[in-house]
Amino acid sequence: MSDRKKLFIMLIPIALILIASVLWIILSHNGSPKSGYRVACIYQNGALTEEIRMDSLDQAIEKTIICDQGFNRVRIDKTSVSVFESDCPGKDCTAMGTVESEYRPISCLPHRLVVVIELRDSDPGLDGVAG
Amino acid sequence: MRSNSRMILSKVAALGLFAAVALVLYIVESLIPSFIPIPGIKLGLANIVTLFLLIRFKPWEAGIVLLVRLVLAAAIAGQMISFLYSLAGGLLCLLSMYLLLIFTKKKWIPLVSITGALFHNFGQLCVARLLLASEYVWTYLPYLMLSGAVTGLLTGLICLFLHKKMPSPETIRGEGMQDPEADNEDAEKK
Repeated sequence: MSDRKKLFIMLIPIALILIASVLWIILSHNGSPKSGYRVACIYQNGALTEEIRMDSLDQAIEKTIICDQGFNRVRIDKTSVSVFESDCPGKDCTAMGTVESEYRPISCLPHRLVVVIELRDSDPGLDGVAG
Repeated sequence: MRSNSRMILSKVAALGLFAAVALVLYIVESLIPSFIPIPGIKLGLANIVTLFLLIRFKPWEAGIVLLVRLVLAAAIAGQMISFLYSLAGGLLCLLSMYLLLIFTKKKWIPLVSITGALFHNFGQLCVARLLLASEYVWTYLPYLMLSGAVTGLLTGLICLFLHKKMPSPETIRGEGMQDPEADNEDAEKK
């Protein structure tokens, strides 16, 4: 096999992965606004432990999520979610700052916690806690 | 015989030195704040050592240095969970770079490094998916692929520079080193 052919075999998959990544990021940031309401969901070990309808919040609320490994403090308001305090070693979750997009979950790997905004289509009238 | 054991000792010392360099690079990197707030995005400076060893040494020697660095880094950081991520990413990166170096006959080192970085990030994300039991981690994949391409290119260029500027493999591996005691014995015989 010629060097040129080998170079193409290496370059094409890398280029495709990078193009797909750029497209995904652009589309996720500039997508058309969807109808429905937004819910802040908190997952622990893959299970939904709490969901809070965001448009019903008059002021920001703070929740402390405790697990065997430690704790995370989550702030939720009308438009965004954030993990503002944690005793995890890496502090990646607090470094992620305030998130307003449904495409950027906040995850704390040592505490196996995911905080994410989800968009719900229908309005079942729920305004509370599930799980 | 003595010369052979000296050569083995030189090689062990050289590999120990490379493990120490990789560990220092890991510690330096952990002190640099991340500019992109996505978990898993790192410079991957320690990968320079892995790639360099794959080019100059045997693959299993590169693997040993990688494992030593990962174990020591986990012990220093005190995070067992980070060891799992690093192990999955590191081994996938090592394997992919090794196969590509065979495929390319050790050409296009920056491209090999980029591929290794992409596999490293993918391996880490697979472990994150298993531990978090959440499909949401896949939303980090595009960011990790783009950052992997940039950091992989950077580490690949540094590795290419070192490969061109460093002494020959025999010198680094200790094979070119003289055994002074053996030389003295030879002189006495003469």
